[in-house]
Amino acid sequence: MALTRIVLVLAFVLALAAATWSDSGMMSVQVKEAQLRSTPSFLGSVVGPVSYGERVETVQKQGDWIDVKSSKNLRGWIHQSALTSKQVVLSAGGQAKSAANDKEVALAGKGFNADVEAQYRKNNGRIDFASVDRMETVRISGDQMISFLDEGKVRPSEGGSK
Amino acid sequence: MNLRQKFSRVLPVVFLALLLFLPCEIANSGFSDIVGGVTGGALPGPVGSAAKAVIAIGKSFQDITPEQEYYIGRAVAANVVSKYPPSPNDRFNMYLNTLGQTLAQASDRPDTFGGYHFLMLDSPEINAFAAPGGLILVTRGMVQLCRTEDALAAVLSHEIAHIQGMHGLKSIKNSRLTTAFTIIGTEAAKSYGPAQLSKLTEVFEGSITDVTSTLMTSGYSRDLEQEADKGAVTILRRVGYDPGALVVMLTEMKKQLKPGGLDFAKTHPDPKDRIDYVKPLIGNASAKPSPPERQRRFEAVLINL
Repeated sequence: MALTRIVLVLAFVLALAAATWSDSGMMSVQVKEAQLRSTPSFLGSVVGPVSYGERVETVQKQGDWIDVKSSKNLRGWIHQSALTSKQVVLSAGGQAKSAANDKEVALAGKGFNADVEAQYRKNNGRIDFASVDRMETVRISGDQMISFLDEGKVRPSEGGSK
Repeated sequence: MNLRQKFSRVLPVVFLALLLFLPCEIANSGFSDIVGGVTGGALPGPVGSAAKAVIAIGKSFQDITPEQEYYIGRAVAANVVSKYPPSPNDRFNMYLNTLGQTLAQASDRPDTFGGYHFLMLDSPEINAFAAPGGLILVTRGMVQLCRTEDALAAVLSHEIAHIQGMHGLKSIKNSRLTTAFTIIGTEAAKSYGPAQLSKLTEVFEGSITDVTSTLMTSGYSRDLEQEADKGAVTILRRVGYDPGALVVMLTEMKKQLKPGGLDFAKTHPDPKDRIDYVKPLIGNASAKPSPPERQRRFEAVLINL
C-alpha cells in the first residue's frame, strides 16, 4: 500500500538524517598513535593512547585542543593535528566505496604507501633506509620530557600549544 | 481528515524541516574543516563546498594525507643520510631527541603520522634538514656551532616549523601531484596492480627528488624561511627557551658561513636579513645566560662529539 511505502521512505530518510547528525561530532585519528591528555596542553598528563583510524566523539574545543571521548571510552584532550573530520578506513584488503566518497572517507594505505616504498627501495638499492628505521625507534615519553625541562630549569611560559 | 490526508499535509512539513536541518549539519562540519585547515592535513576544500561533486581526490600538497607525507619523509631522510652518514653517538642522539621531541610537542603541529625524530649527521658542514612528517637531521658542524642548549633549541625549532608548515611538500611539482591523485582517484583497491604501482613509484621518485633537491641544493623561498623563523620564536617561547638564542645562532652563522659555500649558505637567506626579521619578533631582548644546570648538561653531551 502506498501509505506504508511513504512511511517506510520517511523512516529511512529520518534515520539517515539522524545518522548524519550524530556523526557531525565524530572525528578520526589520522596519525599512527596520539595521546589523550588530562588538560589542553602538551604538558598535560597522558590519559591514554588512541590509534590510527580510531573514531572519537568531540565534546568541546579550546584553542588547538579538542576534548574527546574515544571508542574505548577514554576521555581527554587531543591536539587537532592528530584528527581529521574524514572517516579513515583501515582496509583489511577492503575497497573504497567510490571516489565521490573521498571527501568523507580516507582509505588508509592509499597512494604513497609501504608497497610504493618497497618498489622505490628495489629501484634505488643503495639508499640508507636502515638508518631511518633506527631513527624512528627513538621515542621520548611525556614523563621524560617533563623531567628534562625540570632538570634544565626550563620553565614553559604558556600551557603549551594554544 | 483521514490518515492519508493527514500524511499529505505532514509530509511537506517534514521535508521542509529536513531541508532546514541538513544544511545545519553541513554548517556544523565547519568545526572540523577549521581543524583540517589549520593542520594542513587531509581535508580538501573550504567549508561549504560539500555540495560540490568530488571526483578528483585532491589538487595540491595540502591533499597529501599524513600517511603519504610519512612515506615521502622517510625516503627524503634516507636520501640525506645516504649523502651524510649518521653519527653513531647514541648518547648525543638521545639528548637531541629529548630536546627536539619536547620542542615539537609545543609546536602548532605536535602530531604527525610517525612523530618527530632527530639524528645528528657525522659531517663538519653547517647544515640541518627537515624531511616531511618530522624526520630532522642536523650536522655535527651545526651542533658545534651552538654554545648553549637554547641555541640548539633554536636550530631544531626552525626545522620543526618547516615541518609544521609542510614546506617540503610545497616543493613537489604540481604535475606530479595531479598524476598521483588521478591514480589514487581511479584505483579504489588498496593494493595496486603492477602498472599503477610502477606509475605511482615513478611519481614518488620524482617527488622525493623535488623535496631532496630543495633541501640540499636550492633552498626554500625567503618567505618560507621567515615563516620558519617566526614559528621557531613561538616554539621557544612556549617551552621556555630564550628566543634571543635564535639571533645568537644567526650571528654565529654569519661569522662562520662562507659566501658561496656549499652548505647552509647555499640554501638559506643571508643570516643578516634573518636577524633583521627576527629581532622585532623577540622585542629586541638580548640573549640571557643559561641556568648553570642547563649549561652543564649541554657541555657534557658535547664531549667527544
